[in-house]
Amino acid sequence: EEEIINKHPKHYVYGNLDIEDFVRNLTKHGVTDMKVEDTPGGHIVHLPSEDTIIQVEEGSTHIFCEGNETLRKKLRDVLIMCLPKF
Amino acid sequence: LVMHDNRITIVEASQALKECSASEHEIRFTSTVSLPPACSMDVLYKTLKQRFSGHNVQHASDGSLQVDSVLVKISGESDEGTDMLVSWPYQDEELGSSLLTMLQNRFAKEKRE
Repeated sequence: EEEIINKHPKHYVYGNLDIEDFVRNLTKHGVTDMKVEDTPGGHIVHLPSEDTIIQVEEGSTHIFCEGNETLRKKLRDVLIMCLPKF
Repeated sequence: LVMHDNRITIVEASQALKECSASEHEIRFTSTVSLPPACSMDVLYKTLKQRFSGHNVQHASDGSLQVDSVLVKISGESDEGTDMLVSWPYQDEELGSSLLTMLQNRFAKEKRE
């Protein structure tokens, strides 16, 4: 069967991520096992027990997951919540 | 909607951001899925072409596959199977998520059998 896919995102996000606000909100949503490292371009949030890495840079965020869609969607929603959007 | 001199106009989201001197925050997701050894890139191509027939499914020059802006790439091979990376921008969130879930369900089942 063929999938019917919505081609528009639910939000348009802009600007930069406040890493402290992001970490605070992740904790609030039950993500507690994490390590934050500073990098030359921003930060890396590592979730060791989930084999997941979030690379935060100026103007971009990349979430690397091991296929756990429930976790990825939670990280996505918290990220969107923490970014300015319309 | 963007307001100019008390006139409201409809513009593309990217144009609206430009007019407000803001830049888009790019979000990308990369997830992994393990496929059985019998699943070649050709089998995968045919499956994606059939399942996502309303989308642009093509082979990229480096051997990976692309469905619109969703990239499907080999990250490692062993006797157990092939590890694939599925990567997509937030703009194609529904397609990326749906493609990943389809691969997980369909091929993980074959792997167990």
